[in-house]
Amino acid sequence: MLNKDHRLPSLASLRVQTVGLPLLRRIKAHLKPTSVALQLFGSHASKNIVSLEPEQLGDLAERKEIRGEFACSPGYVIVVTNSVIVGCALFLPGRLISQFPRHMFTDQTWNDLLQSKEKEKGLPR
Amino acid sequence: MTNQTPEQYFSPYSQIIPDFSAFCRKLSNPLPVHLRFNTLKATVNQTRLRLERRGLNLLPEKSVSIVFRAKNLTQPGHLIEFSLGHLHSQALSSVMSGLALGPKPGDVVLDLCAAPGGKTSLLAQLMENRGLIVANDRYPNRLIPLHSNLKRLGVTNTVTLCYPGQHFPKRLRFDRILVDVPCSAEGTLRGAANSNIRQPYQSGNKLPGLQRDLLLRAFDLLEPGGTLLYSTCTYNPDENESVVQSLLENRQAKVQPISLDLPHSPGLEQWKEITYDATIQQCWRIYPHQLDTVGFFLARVARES
Ligand SMILES: C[S@@+](CC[C@H](N)C(=O)[O-])C[C@H]1O[C@@H](n2cnc3c(N)ncnc32)[C@H](O)[C@@H]1O
Repeated sequence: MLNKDHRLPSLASLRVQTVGLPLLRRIKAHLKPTSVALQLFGSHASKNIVSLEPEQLGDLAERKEIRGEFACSPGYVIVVTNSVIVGCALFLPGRLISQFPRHMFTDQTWNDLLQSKEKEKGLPR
Repeated sequence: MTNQTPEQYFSPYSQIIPDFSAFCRKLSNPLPVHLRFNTLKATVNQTRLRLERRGLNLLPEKSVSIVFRAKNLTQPGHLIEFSLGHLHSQALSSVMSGLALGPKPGDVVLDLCAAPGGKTSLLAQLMENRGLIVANDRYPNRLIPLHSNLKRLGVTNTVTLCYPGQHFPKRLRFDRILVDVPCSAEGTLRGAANSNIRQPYQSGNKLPGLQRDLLLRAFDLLEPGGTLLYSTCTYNPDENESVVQSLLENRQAKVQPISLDLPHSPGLEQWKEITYDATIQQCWRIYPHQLDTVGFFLARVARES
């Protein structure tokens, strides 16, 4: 994702610790999008989006898994609450399994979610 | 805690800080909470609306459209918008140093002392995640919060490195460099309830030498025509004007005006027995009684083509 610049090859001679942002992780034979990649680019997706009520999202983050049927095909999905992209989950028939980063939420974040009654149209850009 | 009041602690600066008693009075108030809205992940309006609907009292900061002061908020790190990377808790003056550097999308930028990454992520925001930022910090353990902030805030255009900045390899040249050096952090000191002030976490005495070396190396890493921004969160002239003066004495460097529209005082003409180069008055001193935020010093320096 870096722009072409004649100086970039010199970077290779430095001891680089990290480059950019992890967009995908390999889980066995599959590639899983990271939550942060979905937060950045998920607004371009037109399918495999699961919209949850704040209470459901709370359950998903706390229990790591919730039961239910969602209108999408099995695999990694984008979790949205109140039009905000929260991150990635794995949908298997009847089950939604959290793939959110650990420590993403605190007690206060749940309060915030439950308090926010907004219903904005469309996903954030 | 020291047993000193602000008046006692800052008495060496009583002649250089304008309206010194107003300055000391201000230090007995707590620091305001400023939020920088991260437009890499959500628009300013989206974030503002969400927070206001939950009852947050947000005051826009004049001339800095991405910063709001949150009046009734004590723990910004607990907001869901923080977890989602829609905002970062960052002092207004810290944001100003990124704005004063003014990187453009496509630039190749070095952040020489980057951790924990508040300013790196701001630079990425100003660059719209384009171009390249090389974010360096000397200490490997400081890279952990740097990485986590860059991830949370959705920064994609940054590589991280771990060199002592004063020895940063000279193999790459940069269009813009931020030199946000370790300092005595006097600008973060505010009085406790009893209006005595905290001990600074580092003694200022050992720092100017390191700061001089960091600034010199940064200047040597600039492309001809490039610009750097030297900043500290301290009032101590030995860590501010004297460091810039030493650069001017050793390199063909040119201090430039800072084109932001915010209250500040000019760089000093003189400190103790030293008379500074007149161009140093184009530097900015940010005092809390003039602008309610962390005290800062900003110097914008160009390397001529
Ligand atoms: C004022 S803090 C930087 C804050 C950062 N720019 C931000 O906005 O989040 C100074 C940083 O310099 C780092 N540092 C100290 N000595 C250094 C050196 N010799 N070279 C590079 N970094 C150094 C410290 O680890 C610290 O993280």
